[in-house]
Amino acid sequence: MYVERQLPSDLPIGYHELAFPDEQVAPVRVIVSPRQCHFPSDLRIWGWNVQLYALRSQESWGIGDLADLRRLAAWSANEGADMVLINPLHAPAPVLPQEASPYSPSTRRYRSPLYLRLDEVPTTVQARAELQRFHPTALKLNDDRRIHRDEVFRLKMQALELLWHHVRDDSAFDAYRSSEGRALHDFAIFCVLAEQQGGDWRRWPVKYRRPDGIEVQRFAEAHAPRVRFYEWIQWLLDTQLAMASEHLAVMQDLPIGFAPGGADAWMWQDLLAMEASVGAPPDLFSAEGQEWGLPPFVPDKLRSVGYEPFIQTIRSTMRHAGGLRIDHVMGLFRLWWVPQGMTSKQGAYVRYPAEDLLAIVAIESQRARGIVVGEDLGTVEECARKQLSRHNILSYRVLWFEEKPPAQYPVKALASVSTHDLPTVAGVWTGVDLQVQHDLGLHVNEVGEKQRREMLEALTGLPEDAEVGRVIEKTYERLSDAPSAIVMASLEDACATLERPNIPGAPGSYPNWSLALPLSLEEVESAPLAESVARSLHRHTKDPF
Amino acid sequence: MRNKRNKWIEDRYEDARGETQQISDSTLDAIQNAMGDAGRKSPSDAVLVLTKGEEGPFIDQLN
Repeated sequence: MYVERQLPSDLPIGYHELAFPDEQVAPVRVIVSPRQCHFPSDLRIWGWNVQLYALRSQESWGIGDLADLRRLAAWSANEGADMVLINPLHAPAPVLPQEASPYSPSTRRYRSPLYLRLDEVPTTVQARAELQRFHPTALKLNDDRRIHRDEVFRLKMQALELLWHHVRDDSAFDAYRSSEGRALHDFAIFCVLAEQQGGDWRRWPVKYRRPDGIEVQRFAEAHAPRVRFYEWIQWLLDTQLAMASEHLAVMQDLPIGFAPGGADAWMWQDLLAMEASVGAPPDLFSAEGQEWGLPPFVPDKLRSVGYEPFIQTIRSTMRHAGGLRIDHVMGLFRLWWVPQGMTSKQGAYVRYPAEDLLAIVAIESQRARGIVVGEDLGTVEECARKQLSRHNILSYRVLWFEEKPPAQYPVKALASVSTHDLPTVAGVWTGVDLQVQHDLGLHVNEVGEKQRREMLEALTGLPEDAEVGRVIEKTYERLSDAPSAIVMASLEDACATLERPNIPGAPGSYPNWSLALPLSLEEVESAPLAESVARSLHRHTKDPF
Repeated sequence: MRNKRNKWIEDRYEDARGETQQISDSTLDAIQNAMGDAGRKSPSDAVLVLTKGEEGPFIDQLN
């Protein structure tokens, strides 16, 4: 399109390049946004919040996978649910030990092979037969509630190599490679380099530290089949995720950042402040402040490349998704930077071009027809909340933090009881959550724990010696009073799980992000408590308000 | 010195109790350094963000 004098007001939504052919001026990226995210005005749905790794069936190889997600989605849809919210599935570096935290991935664009169901990978009869030899070891991993990621990683990578030897040309794979382009190729090169040199590119020989280096190109050519192997793994993940999302909307979760030694940091190192880390200033929960070990983007540098990394990240996380949860959504407005060598207290806030970033989120949300939820817990500026609401980004309301009853929650919100970092209903009611923290030698907020139990008593109207299953049922009955667009139940609560998925600050002896649900997926499907919680939340979609 | 730093860096903030906390010069310098050279430049004009239906700017204002 040729434009004169003034940009027209009817440019299509999306990304355009404005070039100046007669002048020595760099092109300008023009971003035309709908401003608001996808949000049907009469939305009133419910769903399950699940840590996918914890959701194992009898066919899992020691960890919940995408076939388990598909089965959960089918069962949930049958129960009347419209959504499943899952933990980030992004890939850690392909090395041992495997990073357990979903919130410190190597990349936020590609996914972890641990979530593949290898028995569903299309292959030859011979390969299918050879795959059988992995089953005794793989299925035995389900006997232990603790998830042994390193064992799963070894087994699945060996099995993938076996299957890879039987792969023939596939036009769908070629189309995927072509559509992903350079981003996928560079990610796959990173994976092969990481196999040989370790999972942190900052410790590699200097010649491999830049993705555009000539030695990296030579390495990629010399290892072309292995690079293609990692591209193929991502295609398999993409295919299985698409299948898992057929029954209902799968809301994906976006971490606030990525590991400094990982693939995204390697590829975008020129745009990052590698000598700083994202964190949080001191507050009521952490007197010393927090430092998360994730490098932040430099705002000017991110803008200078037309926000391309941000666009790619949002787009790939929304792929095949019916929604997106943005963890620590305040990160679109400002981030607490902790300079290297300083304490968390010695940081400062750095602002970000929030309106631009929200415009991009809106474009990607409308394109994917995905609902966006911003995790706005903790210190949030009131003006930011209003800005998010104007863009149709839903607030995240957690019972433990709310002073008002669920019936008074806002409409533009996702309502839940807890989060992955907070106790389950059973953990609070039985006192196990408190005891675990004591046993770990952690600083325990006794008052807060006591208040949560009192909140449950007041909310449910049950006596203090009530059976825990009944407390869970009544809690979700009350949660379903919320007029919020989305109401979520956690599968941890549906299984009366005592432990929370993650205790921030817990020592290595505690299995953060590594405890399977106490029930298998098959058992969940027939558990009376899960059925009862589902029935309560389904009422939410029916009651007029 | 404080007002010569990159415009994105905030030299104070309101803490959880609502009290204003000043950021030390050493922290501000360290963050400025972590931003690298581009941190001192003015924001790039590489991007123009419009709302659908919004009148675009005149071209000569862009180049």
